[in-house]
Amino acid sequence: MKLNVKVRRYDPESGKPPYWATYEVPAEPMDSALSLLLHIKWHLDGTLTFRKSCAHGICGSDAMQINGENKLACSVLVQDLVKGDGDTISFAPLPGSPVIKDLVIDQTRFFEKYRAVMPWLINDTPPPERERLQSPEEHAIIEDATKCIMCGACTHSCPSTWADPDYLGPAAMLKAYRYTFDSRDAGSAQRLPIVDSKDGLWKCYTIFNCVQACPKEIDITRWLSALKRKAVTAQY
Amino acid sequence: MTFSHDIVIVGAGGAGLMAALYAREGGADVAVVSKLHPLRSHTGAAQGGIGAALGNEEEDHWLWHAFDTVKGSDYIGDQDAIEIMCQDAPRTIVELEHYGVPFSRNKQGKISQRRFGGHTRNFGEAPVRRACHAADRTGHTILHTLYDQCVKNHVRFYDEFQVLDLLMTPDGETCGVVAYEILTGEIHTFHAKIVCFATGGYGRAFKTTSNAHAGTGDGMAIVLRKGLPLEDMEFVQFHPTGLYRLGILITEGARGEGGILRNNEGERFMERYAPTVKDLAPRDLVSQCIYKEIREGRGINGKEYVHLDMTHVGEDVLLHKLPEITVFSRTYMGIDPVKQPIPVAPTCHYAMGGIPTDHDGRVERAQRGSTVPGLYAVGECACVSVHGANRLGTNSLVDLVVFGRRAGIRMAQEIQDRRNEPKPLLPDDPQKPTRDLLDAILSRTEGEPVVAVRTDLQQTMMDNVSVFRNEETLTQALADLKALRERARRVVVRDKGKRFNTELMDAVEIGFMVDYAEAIAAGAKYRTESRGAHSREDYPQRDDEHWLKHTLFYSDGQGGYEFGDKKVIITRFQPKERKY
Amino acid sequence: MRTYGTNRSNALNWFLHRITGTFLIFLLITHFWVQHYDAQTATVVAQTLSSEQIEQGVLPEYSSEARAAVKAKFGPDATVTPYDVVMLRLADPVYAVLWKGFNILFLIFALHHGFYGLNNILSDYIRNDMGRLVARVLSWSLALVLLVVGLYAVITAGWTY
Repeated sequence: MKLNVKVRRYDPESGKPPYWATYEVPAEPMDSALSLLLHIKWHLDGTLTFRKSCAHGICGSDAMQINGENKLACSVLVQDLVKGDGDTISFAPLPGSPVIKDLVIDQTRFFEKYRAVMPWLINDTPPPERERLQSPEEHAIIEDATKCIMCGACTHSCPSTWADPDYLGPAAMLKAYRYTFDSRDAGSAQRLPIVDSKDGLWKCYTIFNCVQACPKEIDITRWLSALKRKAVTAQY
Repeated sequence: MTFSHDIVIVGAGGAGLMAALYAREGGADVAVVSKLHPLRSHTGAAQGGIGAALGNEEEDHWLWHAFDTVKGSDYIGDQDAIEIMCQDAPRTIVELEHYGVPFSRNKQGKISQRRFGGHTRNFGEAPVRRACHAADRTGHTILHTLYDQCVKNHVRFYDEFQVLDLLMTPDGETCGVVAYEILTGEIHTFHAKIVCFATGGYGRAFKTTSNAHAGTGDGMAIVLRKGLPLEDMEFVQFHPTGLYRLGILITEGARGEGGILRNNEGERFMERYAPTVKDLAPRDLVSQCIYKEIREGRGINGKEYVHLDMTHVGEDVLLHKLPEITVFSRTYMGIDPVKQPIPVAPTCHYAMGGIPTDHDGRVERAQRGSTVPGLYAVGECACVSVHGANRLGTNSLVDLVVFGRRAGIRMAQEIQDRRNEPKPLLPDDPQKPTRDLLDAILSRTEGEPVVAVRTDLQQTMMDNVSVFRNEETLTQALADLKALRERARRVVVRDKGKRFNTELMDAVEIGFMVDYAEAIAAGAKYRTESRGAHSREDYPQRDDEHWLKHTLFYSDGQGGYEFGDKKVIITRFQPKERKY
Repeated sequence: MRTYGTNRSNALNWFLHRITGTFLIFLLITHFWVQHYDAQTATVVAQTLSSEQIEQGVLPEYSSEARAAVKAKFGPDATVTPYDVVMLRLADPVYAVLWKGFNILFLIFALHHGFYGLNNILSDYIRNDMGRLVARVLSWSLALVLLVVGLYAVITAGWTY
C-alpha cells in the first residue's frame, strides 16, 4: 500500500520556521514505523534527520510522536497505525524539549534530571566475597523498573513536565525508585530528599500518560506512588 | 577545539564503559567519546546471559568453561587468554553484582544461571547451567548499571561525537583521535596519552543482521587505515535464531529454556547433527544445520526459515524468563510464541575477529609483544583471541567485562607510570585529513546516494560471504568490493548542513565498511579449510596442519592487501575432532 | 546545570492532601445527609418550590417533626424557615458542639485540600522562584482569611437563638 507520511520538519540552520512535509511512501502492514522514515531518508530526502540504532526497541533512540502519541518508531507497526491504502501517518519530535533538527530533540535536560537523582547503587558496607544475596521476591520489586530504556517517551508525555520544565519527570524518578527499592541499596537518606522536593514526586498528579506512553509497558505511576509512600514514611 | 585527557575511550558499550570505570577508579582522567548516547549502545541488545562458573545452580568449574570455549572456538582461540577469561569471569560478575546489576535470582538469593549453547559439564558430558542473566535483558541491565557507575565516578562523556581518525606520532606512538561533533558539525581533536577503541562489531555489512544501525565497525577500519592489522576477520558469527527476514535476535536462552528447532516435517533436526546437546549445540553448527535443512528442501513452506518451537515450555516461562522475545514475536511477526512456533533464520550477529590485542587490551602490530604504544582495543572490535572461529553464547558479555576491566586497570597503571611524561606531541594540523574527507563529500554534487552502495555491499556479503562460502563466491565478493570501493568514494549527500548531519556520517561509514568487508572476504578466501563459523564448501575439513594459526590482514587502503600469520597458543587442550 | 531537588520536603503537605481528600468524601456525605435529608433533626425539604412560589414568599413544607421542633422553640406562631431549622440545630445545647466541631473540621480540611491543589497549579504555570513565592504567600493568606471568616461564622451561629 501507499501511505502519506507527514513529518514535522525543522532545521534552525535554514532560518525557516517548522513545517509539515508530506511524502508518499510504499509500505507493508508488518513494516515498522521506523522503516517508513528510513525509506524517506534513503530514497526520497537525505536531509530528513532522526535518531535510530538497534531498531528493535531496546536502545531507546527513536522515541517520537507518531500520530500524536509518544512511541518508539521501531516498535510500532504500520498496521497498528493506519487502516489502509492512502492513509496518513504523522511523525513529530517528542514534545517538551528543544528541537535540534527535524525529529531529533535536545536531551540535555532529560539526562541532567537523570543524573540529579543519584542513579547508582549506594552501599558503603564492604561487599561480601560473593554476590550480595537478594531473594526473587526482593528482585521482583524492582524488576519492572529495570526494563527502562531511558527513551524519554514518558517524561515527554507528562503534562506536569510540560508545565514545569524543572519537574524531574517519570523517567528520572523511576530510576530513583529502581535504586531506592533495591534491597542491596542503602542510599535512601541521600536519594529521597532529592525526589521529595518541589521538583520531584509531588508534581506527579497520577495522570498516567507516562504509563500509556512507555514502550516497555512499565507501570511507572505505580512505582512512583510506592516512592511517594516511602518518602512520607521516611519522614513521619 | 582540542580536548585533553589522559585516556580517550572510543565507544560507550559494555567494554568501553567497563574500561572507563576501572581506569577512572584507578585515578586516571578518562573521556568516553561515542557516536551514540552511551545508553544507545548495542550491548543493551544482548539478551540471554553472561557465562561464569559460579556454580550457583549445580557444580561447575572455570576449567570446564575454558574447555567449552576452546572447543567452541574450534581450537583456534588462544588458550592462555581463554583461561584468563574463564578464571576472571566469576570475580568480574560478582563485581558487576556489587555495582548493582539486577541479575535474576534463584531461591537461595544467588544469581540465577541457565543453560546455553555449547556450555557443558565435565568437558562435554551434558549441558550445564552457567549463564547468569537478568531475564532476557542481561546486556541492557549491565549497560545501564555501568553507565550509572561511570556517571557516579565522573567519567567525562562526549556523546554523539563520531571518531573519524586516530592520531599517531611519526614514531608510531598514539597521541589522540579526531572526532566530528554531530550536533554542531565541528571537528575536534582529542589529545591523550592513551586511546582505547571499543567500537563494537560490523554486522551492518550484511543484509540480515541482529546488529544495530550503528554497528558499522568504524574502529576496525580506522585502525586498519593506520597500517595496523585485523586478525581472523574471516570468522563471522551467524546467530541461528534471528526473526525471519528481520534478523532481530531471539536469544539462545530460548533454547536454553527448552525451545526446539523444527523443520517443515516437524522433525527436531538437531538430534541428527548433535545427538548429545541437540538444540544447544554451538551457533556455528546450528546455523549451518539450518541452512542445510533449507537447502535440502525442509524449510517451512519451502521458504528460507525453520521453526523455533516454544509452545511446550509454557506461558509462565515465556512471560517471566523470556519476556522480551515474547514481545518481539508478537510485535514484529504477529505470532504468539505460547501457541505458535517462531519463524527463524540465521542472522549476522558477531565478529570473532578484530583488532589484535594482548590480555590487557594492548594492540599489537604483528607478532605477540609488538605492542603499539598507547593504543588499546576491547570488546567486539578487538580480537584477544578468546572466541577463535566461533564464539559461544554468553561469551561476548564475558569478553566485554573481563577484558574491559583488565584494560581499564592496565591503562590506569600506565597513566600512573607515565605521570611525569608529557603527552606525545600532536602532528601538525591533525584535523586536516578528516576535514579534507568531509569537505570532499560535502562539495560533491554528482554521484549516487549512500544507500545504493550500502545495499549492494550488504547484498554481496550476504550472498557470498555468509554461512557457506567457496572460492567462486569469495572471488565474486572481492570483485564486487573492488567496484564498491570506487563507488563509496563517489557517494553524494543531499544534506549539506552542519547541524546533526547523519547523512554525512553515513557517507563516511560506507568507506569504513568497504575496508573491513574486504578483510572479511579476503580472509575467507585465504583460509582454505572449514573451521567454526568459517565453512568452505570446497574445503569442508578442518586442516590443523596448515591452518591452526591466526591470520593478520594488512591493507594499503587501495585494494592491495597482504596476510601475516600468528601462532595459536595451546596450553591444556590439544585439538581434536569437534563433536556435540 | 541546574541543581534539582534542593527545596525542603513537601511530603507532609502531599500526605495531608491524601488524608483530607479521603476525609472530605465522608464529610461531604455527612454534610449532605444532615443538612438536607435527616428526618430526626427535622430538616427534610419535602417540597420543591417553583420560581413564582419563591417570589410570592412561599416557604417549603417541613415534616411534622421539624415544624413541631421549631414551634416548640419559637412559639406556636413562628414561621418555619430553612434558616431557622439550621440555626435551631446549631443552637441546640447538646448537638451544637458536635455539629460545630464537624463544620470546623470540614472547613479546615476543605481549605487545605483546595489550596494545596491551587498551589500545585500555580507552580505549574509560574516559572520563576520569586513569582512562586508571591503566589504561595498570597494564596495561603487568602486561605487564612477564609479560615477566620469561616470559624467566626460557625462558632457564632445560633448564639442569638
